[in-house]
Amino acid sequence: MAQKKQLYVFSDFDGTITLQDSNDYLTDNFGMGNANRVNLNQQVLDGSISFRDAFAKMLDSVHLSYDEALEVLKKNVAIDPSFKPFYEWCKSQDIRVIILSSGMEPFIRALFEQYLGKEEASSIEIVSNDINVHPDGQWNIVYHDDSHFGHDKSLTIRPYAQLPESKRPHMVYCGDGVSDLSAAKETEHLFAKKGRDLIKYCEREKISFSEFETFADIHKDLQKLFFSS
Amino acid sequence: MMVARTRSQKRKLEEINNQKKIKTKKKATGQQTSNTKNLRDVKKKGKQLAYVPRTSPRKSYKNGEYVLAKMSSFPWWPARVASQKSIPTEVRERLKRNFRMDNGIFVQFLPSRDYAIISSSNVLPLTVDESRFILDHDLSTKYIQKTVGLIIASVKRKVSFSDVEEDEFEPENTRKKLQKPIEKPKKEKIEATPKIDGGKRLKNEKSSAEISQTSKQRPSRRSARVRMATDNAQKSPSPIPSPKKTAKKRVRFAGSLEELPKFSLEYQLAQPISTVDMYAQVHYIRFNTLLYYRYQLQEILLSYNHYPQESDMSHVHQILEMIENFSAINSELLESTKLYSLFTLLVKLSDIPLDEKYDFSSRFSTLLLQFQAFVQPKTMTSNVSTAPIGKNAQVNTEAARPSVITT
Repeated sequence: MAQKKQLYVFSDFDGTITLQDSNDYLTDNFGMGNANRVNLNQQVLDGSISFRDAFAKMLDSVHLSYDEALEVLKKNVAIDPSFKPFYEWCKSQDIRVIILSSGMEPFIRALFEQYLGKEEASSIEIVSNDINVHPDGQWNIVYHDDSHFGHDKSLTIRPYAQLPESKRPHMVYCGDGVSDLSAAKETEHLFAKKGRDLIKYCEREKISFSEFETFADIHKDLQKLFFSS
Repeated sequence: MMVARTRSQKRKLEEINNQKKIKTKKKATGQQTSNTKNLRDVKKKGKQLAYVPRTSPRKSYKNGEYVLAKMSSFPWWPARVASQKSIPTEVRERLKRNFRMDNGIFVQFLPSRDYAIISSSNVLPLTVDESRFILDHDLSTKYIQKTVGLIIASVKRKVSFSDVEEDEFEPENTRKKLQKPIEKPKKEKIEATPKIDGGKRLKNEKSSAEISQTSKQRPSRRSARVRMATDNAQKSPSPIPSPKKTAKKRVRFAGSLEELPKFSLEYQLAQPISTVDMYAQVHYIRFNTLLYYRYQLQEILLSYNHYPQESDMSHVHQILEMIENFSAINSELLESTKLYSLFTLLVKLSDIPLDEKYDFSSRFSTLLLQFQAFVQPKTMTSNVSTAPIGKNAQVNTEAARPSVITT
């Protein structure tokens, strides 16, 4: 049978597609350092500072210019090598891939550029925070929305989830952490990273999910779920 | 020429007989048979002699030991002795079917890693001295010489052949180190001999004597051997698979040049929790805690079929106390738990038991004012629009309560 509804694949970026969290990498290695970041996290837990303010402080402490930060991320942040063939397959099957991230869009596109190519990096859909680059090369984060998180991922998915069933597309989410839980509830199928925290919370909330290690596993499962007939 | 060869062989045999009586007989018979076989092969093929190892055969070999093995239509090839367990079962069974003799030795040819069973008469130990002899005199094809060079390096470093093979494609410094043994002058060889054991010293002395004899008596044979080596290089089929392997290794080297960060699944799974996820976990806990408080208050004070009792008021007091002391309340939590909506209804309650003792009414109002600071104007307007419905509901509840009281 031909696919009647379009398939949307929403995916987290840091820790799911990448080897490590790029924001924390910059802060720990070129900013305030790991110890100060942990201390600031504790202040967020105590409620003395909001997450938005704390996260902005962390990134503001990075003493790299915009171009320098791009180069550092390109040299140190690796991407799952199976993501590229997965993305190419999605394009061939008219599957829409949307990256939802708490990171910053220019840095994400720069990383995709050296793994997917310039054309793919410029055309891939990314919903994330942005940055404001000043004339002297310094930059600061610009949050996606007014939520306390700075970027509430469920806000992107909810409009599609609220569509009537006849018009609602098939939606799949790929993630690894608790920040993806709210977004995962809005989709019909969840791929949770094996060995990470999202699995534990899905079991607690009784959300059905499939485990994956790399995007090759997601590729196989999507073929079985939506293209086997 | 034939007469001269036989004389030299006789001399060797006499020397061996003089040294050891019993063992010399066995060795003499072994060498005679091997030499006669080689001569017969030469007569049949009508070719000159190719390289023949000088090392003496052994009865047994250790697993992993480097040897030179001979197969038909191939020159003496470097290999290592393999244990039967390390060979895949299918390969082992197939080899055993083809080889029915009892004196077979399992070997793995290098660098192709092909397995074979070779009769013990066609297997000779490949010592360091013999390896150097091969390299110094160009007695084999370049492909074999390269492999022998790697074997020398592996023996010196005391590492496996695979490790040396991989290191060959590292930066130039290591390549220079590999090339050093070949480029060493004769004097350095003499200096190196004291480090070798006594037995090996004797072998070195013999080898030097043989070299001098051959250089004096038969200079033309060297050129002939060189020609034979080049002919073997052209004719032998074994160099054919080498371009693929070198191509793969070049790809690896090219990959290292690009300096792309390497992805490791194990390393990814071992990453600590990120700042965003850390806060998401805390938010999750806070949400569930406030949600629990809301359900408790709603069940005690706003249930349709339940009128609040004095025994419930102490629990209400505890819950209010925890809400009052709750830190880091934000708009997302209030909206997601609907706590603000709850308190807009609670402030309108009247006739709460033990209100004088716990002062519930004023506490509800105080908390509502605090929550209003977090709620956005839109939600406030939406709540205001729902106020009449709430009032009607409360009117109904108030009407119901007096009837209950009167009865």
